[in-house]
Amino acid sequence: MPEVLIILFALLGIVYYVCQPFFGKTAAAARSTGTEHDVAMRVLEESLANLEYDYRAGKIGEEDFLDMQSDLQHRLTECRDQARRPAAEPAKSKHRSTRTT
Amino acid sequence: MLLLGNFLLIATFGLLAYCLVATVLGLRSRDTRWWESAIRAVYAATATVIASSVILTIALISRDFRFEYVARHVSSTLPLAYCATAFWAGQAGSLLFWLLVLLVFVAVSLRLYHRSHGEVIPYFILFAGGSALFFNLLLLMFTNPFAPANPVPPDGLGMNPLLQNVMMVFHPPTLFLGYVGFTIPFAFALGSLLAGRFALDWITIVRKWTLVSWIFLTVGIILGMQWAYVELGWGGYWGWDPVENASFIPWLAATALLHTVILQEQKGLFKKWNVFLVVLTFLLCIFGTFITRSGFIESVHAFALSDIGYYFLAFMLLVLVLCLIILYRSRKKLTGQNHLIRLDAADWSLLQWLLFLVAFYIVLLQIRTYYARAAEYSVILLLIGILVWKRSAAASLGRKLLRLLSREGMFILTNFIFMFFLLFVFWGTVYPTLHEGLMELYAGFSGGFRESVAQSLPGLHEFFQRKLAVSPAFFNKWVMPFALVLLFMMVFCPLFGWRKLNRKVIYFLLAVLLVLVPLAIYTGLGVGAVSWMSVVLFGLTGFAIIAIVSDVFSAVAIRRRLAGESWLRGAANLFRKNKRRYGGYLSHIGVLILIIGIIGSSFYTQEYESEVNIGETFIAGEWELKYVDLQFSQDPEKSMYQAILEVIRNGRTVGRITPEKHLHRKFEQPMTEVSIDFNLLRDLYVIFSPVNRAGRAYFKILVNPLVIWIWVGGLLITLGGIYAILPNRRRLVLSELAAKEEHHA
Repeated sequence: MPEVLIILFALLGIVYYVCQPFFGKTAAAARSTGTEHDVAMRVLEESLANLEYDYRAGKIGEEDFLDMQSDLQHRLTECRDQARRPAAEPAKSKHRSTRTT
Repeated sequence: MLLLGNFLLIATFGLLAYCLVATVLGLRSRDTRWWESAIRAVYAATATVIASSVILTIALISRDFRFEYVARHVSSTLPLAYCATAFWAGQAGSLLFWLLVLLVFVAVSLRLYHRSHGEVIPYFILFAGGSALFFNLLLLMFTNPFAPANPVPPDGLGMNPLLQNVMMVFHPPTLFLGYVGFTIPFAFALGSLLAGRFALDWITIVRKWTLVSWIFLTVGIILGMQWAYVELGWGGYWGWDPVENASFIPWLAATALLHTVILQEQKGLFKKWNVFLVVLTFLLCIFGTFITRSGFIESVHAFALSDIGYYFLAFMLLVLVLCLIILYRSRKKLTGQNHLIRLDAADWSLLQWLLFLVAFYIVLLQIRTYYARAAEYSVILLLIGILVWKRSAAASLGRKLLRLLSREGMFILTNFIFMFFLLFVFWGTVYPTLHEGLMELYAGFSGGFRESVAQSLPGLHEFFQRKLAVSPAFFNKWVMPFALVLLFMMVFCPLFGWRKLNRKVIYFLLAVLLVLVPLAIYTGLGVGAVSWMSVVLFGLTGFAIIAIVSDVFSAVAIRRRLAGESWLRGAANLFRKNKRRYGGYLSHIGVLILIIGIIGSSFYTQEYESEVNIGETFIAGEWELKYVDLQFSQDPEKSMYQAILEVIRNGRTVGRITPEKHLHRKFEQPMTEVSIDFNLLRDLYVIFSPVNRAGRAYFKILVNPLVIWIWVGGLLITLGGIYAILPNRRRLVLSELAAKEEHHA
């Protein structure tokens, strides 16, 4: 008998928890935020630093170093620009998704 | 408890099914409430699986034999610690554990990424949730851990004695964590493909989860090796057993992925290949489970056999087909902007001609008995003719191929070697079983047909008559070329820079050749008692360690020059600020130390046998072993015979070893408990079998050199992996560092 009671309460709890988004105010819409830019920028910064070590250790020639450095810096600048761009427009309906493009 | 356990499993099924339906509805309607509800369903399913795992653990610890699973794997005399580990000793428990780990990983991923990667998450749920639903279904339909025992036995069967080992507390869970963890990068990568948008950091997320799973898989494999070494009592740690191979194959795929991820992150190369490797690793994990569970291939490690394995095969095929469709449809999204080598029409034309020449040579080889040298000369002439005719294309292709002599090229070659190694181990694992299937098929044909085959194609007939086995010796022989090439790569990779070959590599290559070639010739001629192959392998390992250390040294020197740091501070800062690179280096050092252990224990093991009475002494190499006593004891679970041996060296007692033989009451097979006396240079590995009640006993002694280095290497690989995964703070490029230093001055 106690087991049946536990099961009933658990069932009610689960149903309430899972269906909550339909009852109350909607949660934040699913969309991408700017954190991905932080990660990408960190990877690029790391690559730049490693590239400089490789150059100074004599593993890369000057021409290649400058070329790759400018390529990485270009990608870094692009990434920074994207990160600075304002987020996508909010959703028209409060329950509709706001997908970034 | 039984009712509650079953309810929780059914509730998990309902929640997982609901989360898939809600996700699809959300995708159709673009109503985010469905997705939020689906995410909540995953969290709730995680909670219900945690609760059902707690119930099973309580039942195991309290030895509640009303549960059939408990009655099968626990007995009233089994030590309490093993009662808890019985959770993963059987089929149903290990599948529940798999589901638990999977849902916890999925819940953690959702918590981490559901705000930042909103578009990917619904598809991620579809893949990860679908995978969890499959395991949940298996539990409900075929192997329920909450099935009641009928009738309830007064005592349980107990645990297989082979599993009663401290390694079994950690080995299966870590292996499962590794296997299951690969579901996350798989679901995330395919989710990104289906969402039609690769977030900038998707490869970083894939790398992070692959690395986490790879660390667990590595630890699981190393612990499994230790278990085999200590518990199976044959003196080795790796027997190329199908179940061992089943864990090694996805490890190879994941290791290849961890290398090419760097190329995608830094150079934008290999996008398609990386997605392929993610999918391949996941499928190979399922394949590993199929081998372990199905009995498809005979193995000493398969403890839970049933027909359930074939559902894994079906699941694997379904995922494979689905992945192929997705990959085909998304191929354009994965086209990289950068190419290491871009082959044009002229290159392809030249390659086609060269391919034709190879085919021509193969045909000539078949008839060379008649034309002998004329065939070879004609091929050489043709080759020269093609190269002269297509000289501009040949020069251009040669220049392009030279680009492979760069860091990018080394990554690609490393990947090729990993893939060949993977294919070799995979084929060696499944080939005997496939051949057996073909034999059965052939045996099904009519006698007349077989007779005609035997007369017209005797070789083929014999092929279908003789059972084939791939022995560990075969693997050991053919693994050598892979080991040599991989070691060669490990020597030179740290020295290569991007794009071009540099002088450092050439000088180092000359040094390696100058040292190793004379040594190999010297030992190859039979001077001394060492194998030339082991000398070359030891030499390459040493050079690989030197290459890594010299690279670190030169980086510290640069910091010293630019920032005026001391050696110690420079090294500390270097390691602290680039955890990825130096974590990777630490892992490589671990691999090299592990290889030293493998070379030592593979080439220089000595074996001695003796049958003696109490009080007698026998010789094992440089040791004398005195059989002092035989003791008998028993506990509720088993009877134990323990031999006491004194280890004497140069007339002085240096230690005591106590190998045992156990007779478990519920299991007929006697168990060997080896005794190992170890130090940095060798293991003295003693196996004992009592011969009669008067105390006469048989001893087998193995002197295994450098085995402890394998475990130390394994530890370093793991620590390196953990270090590489730690987050880096923002790094200053060196020029900024120098400017900062000047500013301070």
